[in-house]
Amino acid sequence: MEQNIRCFSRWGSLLLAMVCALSAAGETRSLYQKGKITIILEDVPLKTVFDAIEEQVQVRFMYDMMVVDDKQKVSIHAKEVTLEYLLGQLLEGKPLKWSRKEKVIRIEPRSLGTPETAPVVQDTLINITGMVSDTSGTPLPGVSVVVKGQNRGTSTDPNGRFNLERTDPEGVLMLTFLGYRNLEIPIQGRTMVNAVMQADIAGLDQVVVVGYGTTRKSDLTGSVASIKGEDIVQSSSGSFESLLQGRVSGLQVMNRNNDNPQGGATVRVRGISSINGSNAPLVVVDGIPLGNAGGLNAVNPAIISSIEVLKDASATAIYGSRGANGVIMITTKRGKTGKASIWLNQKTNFTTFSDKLDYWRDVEKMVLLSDEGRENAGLDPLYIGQKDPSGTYYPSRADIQSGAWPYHTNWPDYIFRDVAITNDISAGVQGGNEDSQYFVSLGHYQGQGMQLDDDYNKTSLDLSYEHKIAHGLTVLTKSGIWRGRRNINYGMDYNRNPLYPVYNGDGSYYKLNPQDYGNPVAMTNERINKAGNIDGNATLQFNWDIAAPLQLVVRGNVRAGSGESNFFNPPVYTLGGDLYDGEGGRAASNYANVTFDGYLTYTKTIDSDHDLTAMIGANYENSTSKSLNTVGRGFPNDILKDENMAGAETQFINNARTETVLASGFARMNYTYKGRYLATFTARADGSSKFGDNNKWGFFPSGAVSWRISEEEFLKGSGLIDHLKLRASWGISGNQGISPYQTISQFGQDYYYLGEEEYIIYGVGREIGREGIGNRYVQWGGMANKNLRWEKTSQLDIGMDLSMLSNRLDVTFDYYYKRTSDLLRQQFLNPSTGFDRVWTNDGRIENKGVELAIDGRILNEGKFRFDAGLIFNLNRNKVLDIGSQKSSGYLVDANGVRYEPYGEGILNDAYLNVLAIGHPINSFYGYQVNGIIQEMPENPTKNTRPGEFNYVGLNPDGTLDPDARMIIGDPNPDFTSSLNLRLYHQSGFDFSVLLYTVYGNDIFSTRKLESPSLQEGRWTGVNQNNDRPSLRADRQYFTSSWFVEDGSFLRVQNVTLGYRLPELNFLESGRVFLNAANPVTFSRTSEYDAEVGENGRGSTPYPRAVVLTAGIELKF
Amino acid sequence: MKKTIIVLLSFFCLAGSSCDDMLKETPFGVYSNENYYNTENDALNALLYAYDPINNIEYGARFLFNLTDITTNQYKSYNKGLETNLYTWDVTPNTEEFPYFFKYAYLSISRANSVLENVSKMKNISGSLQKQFLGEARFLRAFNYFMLVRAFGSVPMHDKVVEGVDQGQAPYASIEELYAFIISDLEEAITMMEVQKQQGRADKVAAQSLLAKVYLTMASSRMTGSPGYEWVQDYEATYEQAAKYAYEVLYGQGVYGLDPDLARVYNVRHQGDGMEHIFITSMSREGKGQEGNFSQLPQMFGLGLPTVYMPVSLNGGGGVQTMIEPGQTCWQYYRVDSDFYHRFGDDDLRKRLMVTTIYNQDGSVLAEWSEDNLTSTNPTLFAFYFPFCRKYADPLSNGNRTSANLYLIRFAEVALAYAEAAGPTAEGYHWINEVRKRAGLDDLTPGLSPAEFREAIWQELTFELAFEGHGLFELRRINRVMENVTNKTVKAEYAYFFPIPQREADLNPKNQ
Repeated sequence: MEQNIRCFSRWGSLLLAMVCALSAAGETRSLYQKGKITIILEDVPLKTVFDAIEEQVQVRFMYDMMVVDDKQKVSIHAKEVTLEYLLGQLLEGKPLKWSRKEKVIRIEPRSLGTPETAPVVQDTLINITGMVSDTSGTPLPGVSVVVKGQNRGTSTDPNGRFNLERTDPEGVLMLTFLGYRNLEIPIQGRTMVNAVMQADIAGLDQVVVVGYGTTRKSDLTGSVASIKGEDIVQSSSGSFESLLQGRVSGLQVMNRNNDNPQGGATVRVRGISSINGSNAPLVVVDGIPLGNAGGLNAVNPAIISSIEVLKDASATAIYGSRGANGVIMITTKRGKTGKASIWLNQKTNFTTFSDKLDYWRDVEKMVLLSDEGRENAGLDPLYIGQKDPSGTYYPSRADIQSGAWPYHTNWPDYIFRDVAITNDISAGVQGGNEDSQYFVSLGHYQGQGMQLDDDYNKTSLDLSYEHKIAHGLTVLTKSGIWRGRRNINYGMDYNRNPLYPVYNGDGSYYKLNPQDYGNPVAMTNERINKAGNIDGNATLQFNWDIAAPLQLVVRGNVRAGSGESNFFNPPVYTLGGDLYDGEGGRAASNYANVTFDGYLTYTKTIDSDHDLTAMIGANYENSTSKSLNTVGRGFPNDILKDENMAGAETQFINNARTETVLASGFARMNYTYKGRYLATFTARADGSSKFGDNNKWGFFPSGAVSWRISEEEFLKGSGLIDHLKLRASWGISGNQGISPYQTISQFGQDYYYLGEEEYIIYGVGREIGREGIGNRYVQWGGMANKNLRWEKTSQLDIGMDLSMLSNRLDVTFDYYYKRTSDLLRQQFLNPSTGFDRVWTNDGRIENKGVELAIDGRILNEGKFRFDAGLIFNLNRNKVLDIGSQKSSGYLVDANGVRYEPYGEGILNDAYLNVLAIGHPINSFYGYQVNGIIQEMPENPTKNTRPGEFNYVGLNPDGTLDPDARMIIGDPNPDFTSSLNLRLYHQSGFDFSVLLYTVYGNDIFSTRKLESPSLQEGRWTGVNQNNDRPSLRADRQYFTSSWFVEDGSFLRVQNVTLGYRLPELNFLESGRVFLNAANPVTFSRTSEYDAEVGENGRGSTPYPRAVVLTAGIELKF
Repeated sequence: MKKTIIVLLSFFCLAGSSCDDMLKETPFGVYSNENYYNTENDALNALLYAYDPINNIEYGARFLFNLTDITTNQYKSYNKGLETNLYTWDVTPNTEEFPYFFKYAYLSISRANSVLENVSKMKNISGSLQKQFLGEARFLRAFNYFMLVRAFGSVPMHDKVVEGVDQGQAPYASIEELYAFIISDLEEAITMMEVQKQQGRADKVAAQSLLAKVYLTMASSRMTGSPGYEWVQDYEATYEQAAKYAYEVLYGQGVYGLDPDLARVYNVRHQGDGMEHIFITSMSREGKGQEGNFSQLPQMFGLGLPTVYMPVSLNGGGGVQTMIEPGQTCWQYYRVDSDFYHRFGDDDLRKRLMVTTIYNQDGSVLAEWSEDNLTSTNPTLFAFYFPFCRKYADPLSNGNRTSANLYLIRFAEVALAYAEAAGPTAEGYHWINEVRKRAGLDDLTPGLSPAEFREAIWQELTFELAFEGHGLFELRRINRVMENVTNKTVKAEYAYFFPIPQREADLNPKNQ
């Protein structure tokens, strides 16, 4: 702990020393600026001359009228003179002097001995105007025009024109515009500079953020994909991840429940490489690791400037032990030089289901089929006007038909909103001068789920400020605070039997039987389930250009926050509430993460042929978290609910605290020879407190080489190829995704009753899980594994970047091979040890695949611009090794397949997904079904009669041979692909379509069994078919190929129509747009939607939501 | 400027190298050997943690009955579902009860080892308390190994907590080695502990009783030729050892004794103060958490009907009571074989511990048991197809949480052990007759030969200890498993030793 503080203070004192030393050395350069003045006036009051000068030059005179007699008459003859000269002439011989501060000229009495005028500064600055167009001559609005080295600039107006006042005639103009190559034009004294910008699809000069630094895209040796913030904000979501689907090559995003107002998605880079650790990429925001991708609500998508995805080892190894799953780098917006601009983005989502809900509308049919199913099972019909053993009353068929049974409830009306409306508004101010820039934004998101009372809202405030303290030294601060609130109300059953009412006659909620806890209206109204958080973060960063080749970045960041949740299950209507006379809980948690890092970059060009960039740095992260959880059972009444936990008869309290430390050193070297041959080497050493004493430190090296063939003489002249680069990289990155304290023996806790007193007892061994029916058996752990170490992923990447046809076609291709070894997994122990499992490193898994991204500027001249982008990802996953059979307890089936269950049970089976050696992760395991039995066998049993599943392995006695089971499906897609089409018109209209497809994956659809609309196709004596079994109420369903369906789908993911508003006086730029997310999906499954989780399990509860967004973006 | 660079560079080097210590993990909110075992309370809590596994489903609260009683003539499945394969002896090394029972015995052993290793090193503890705790830990270790050796035979022996994967594969100790270990632990425990009765804990008398039972098991096994006990040198000398320790219990203390009222032995209100109970668990209806903190034994035995009543007194009369709080339903998992019921003499009070008539709350008869009820269409009769055991009843239960406990060591068992060990001596006759007298039976025929006398004791044990988790162990020690278990087909290879559970056999093979 003491060591900890010393380390901290070492960083702190460094920061402090830098601020003190350098702010003193700093000087503020003033702006001396003058225009030429022409004034010819005879015998007028001095004030009139001042007025004339004020009119011609933007200055104001200030003086004390008691001292300066501005009514005295003067005459002046000045033609094209400077202000200084004029004032010198004017005040000559008078006891006055002048001084100037910015635009204010102060006239004061002159004491003896001081010169009459302020020093004259050579005035050589000029005004420049110009126009910027593309190669076709179309004016380009919005191009940034900046004087190099001064950070002064402007941008072009809607006619492509710009005006830069008072500019150094020897300066260089820098023109930048997204989608065009950067242009530098020496002014050479001209006052009119016109420019033509080259379209640049490849964005070779684009600056790409990599770990601890940036690089030009053309200098990249690793595999990095990048996307601009504005490309993802056409729709809105509570978290940014779901907006990335189909946008980035190599990034797989699965949105399962897209009506969750809090957002959230499963994100994978190049497949699944860990079986027990996390598989989510690390998200780094402005250099600070934020967490694993999935549901990061902390980032307001509106302030994202760009996102880079680091994929190969050369790019990710700089994040060492956390790089194995890829890294998503987010850069947020910062202030910029120029006048303050205010921006406002408002989006409103209208969310509805994309498809009709499938439930029983025709109750007579429902009753008929229920009875048919029971008859086939040899059971009496249910609907006979009697109570069943559970106490549920079933009205008779006659009563239903005649209308004597009056109830018919359309449950979806009580569960779903017709249209869920989400409002997402962000506004901010940004601006600054060459010394200081600021960015402030406020965002508010008010989201609704499709189910009533299912809400999420969050409010965020982000600030960014940077200031040039002194020459070469910039301080940058960023901070943000956000608050989220969630009201959770989902999982209601709209398939509830429509024959029952919502309420009893007395207004209480109707229960089918005493054990019925499913009345959705009761749940919605009576149950409490809420969560909320407040999080804040602050960064202080110094960028110091120590000397020309050397730059230092030092920064510290604190992220801290607290979360809370509470629930109350009232008696009568909820299971927990009924069992315990009311059950409630409140939980609170808080965390603080402190990060310090610093890195030194050295850039040097030697003999113009050798470019060298070397970087060395260190990093320290400390994460602490604490939680307190209270649960109470048995409340005297449900008036105060969980607000009075002390009123609970039985109280449970739980608290926990963890602290983990990661300390690292890292280095990178980039070397370029003649701009053609590039090499990058990185290394990171990570020390983590989570791992065993002997394995605290891990070393993660990588290397990459690339060859810019297009720079070679033999290709340089060719008009066809503009840019061609071959890349190869190899390296190792790690995964430390396990909970802390696994290397320390941990005691367990229980109760023991002794002499009328309940003791809380402790000792060796603790509960780490449960198993068996109803989770009744405890699994014991707590044994230390001092040898625990990282999971290691080595990755080979071979890639190519190509731009051709005058940069109108851009192709990026990557092949990769990833192998993860030392998989973090739990090893079984022999029970005589007193333990069941211990964490260990064991097993291997591989992923290999290709990624292809093609961008084409198909039309880039004339009134229309038309771009198309294609992304294609293919990944093959294979489990190579899952440890020895003894330690992992894997099973070997009759076909010799070695596998272990992976995940939870489904239907009547204990598992569906397996880890099988030689097969992809999550493969389905079960029986094969060959249609439906049509012939009556000799000695029929319930399971061998016509209308039953014709299982392979079905014995004549109706039992199933477990040895007949096999791998029956693979939920991993053959490929995923997306196509992005964008059309722009000169008038300001734009139109884009994003298509997304997943192909060749299997899904396991339980809706195939349950959907009421599919029941029609059942096997009956009349309708003998091979597709669907008869209805039989007591049939046991096993995992079988019958449920496995082709999960391929093609979805129109986004359709956007936008219009750029014409220029108005007060408006710098503006855009309005309409976006439809998920309007159409083509698939062949029985599911509502083929996009299911990565384990391929269907039973999506309701259709995917279509989100219509109306948005407006304004900048003043 | 150069100076600055050098300073910065050396700073980076420092930052990288000297932060090693801070990577040490501090486990907050987690006890471990490093920070526990400081106070007397810590020691007591750790000791109770070692007792705790016995209370769980996997051990005493269910599986002990499954292994020892279900496998004998006491129970029958009636093909009524809710079955364990032990009803039919259709078992494999993976049969659910084996791995869990095995594991829980070792959980208790591991925790007892932790107490032995750590409490012995403690300074802040009074000498007498330290001795008592260490004695109890030795008792527990012996208790568990005695369970294991009778269930599985030769098993791995751990006398230390396993602290790393590499220490996991302990060699299998022979049955002889296990008994030697058990005896030495118990001898040690006897010298360390005092007579100090408390429900849920063992004392000196419990250790003496257990040691008597250990010697008795060795002696009778050797005498009857039960497999695995050939190494016992002289069974009569061993019987003498059993008699010696049982004698200490019968005559050497004044706290425990044979409760004259049979009903009170099984009365949930008298578990704590009953003189009969030498070692009894302490699950409580007030217990929090999971089953094991409270008991659900009444549900295992009672009828699956809404509230049924039975007479409070074994002789009838005295009002009616329930197995469990009215409104709670039982599961009728442990179903008494009606043939076993019929073997009890009609005068035997212990026969009335099986209920054959159930009542309404007002005392009127609700239903009579009959074997024909199996085919009845009346739902009440349909559930009442076996006479159910009422030894575990808690009419005061807190919902489904009860205080019914396991009678691990009773005075009567020690009394009969003494009689068996001593043979047809006056004292031997005295103690079996005391037990018989309490059950309402006449004295045993005098003048029996030693063999006849022991035969009579074994007979008595069958009735006295029925449904209390002794059945199969009692048959194994007199080499009569195949002979006596007739209502099911015993799997011969496992008749005397259950198979080592699969995972243990796989990960720690016996003959490696």
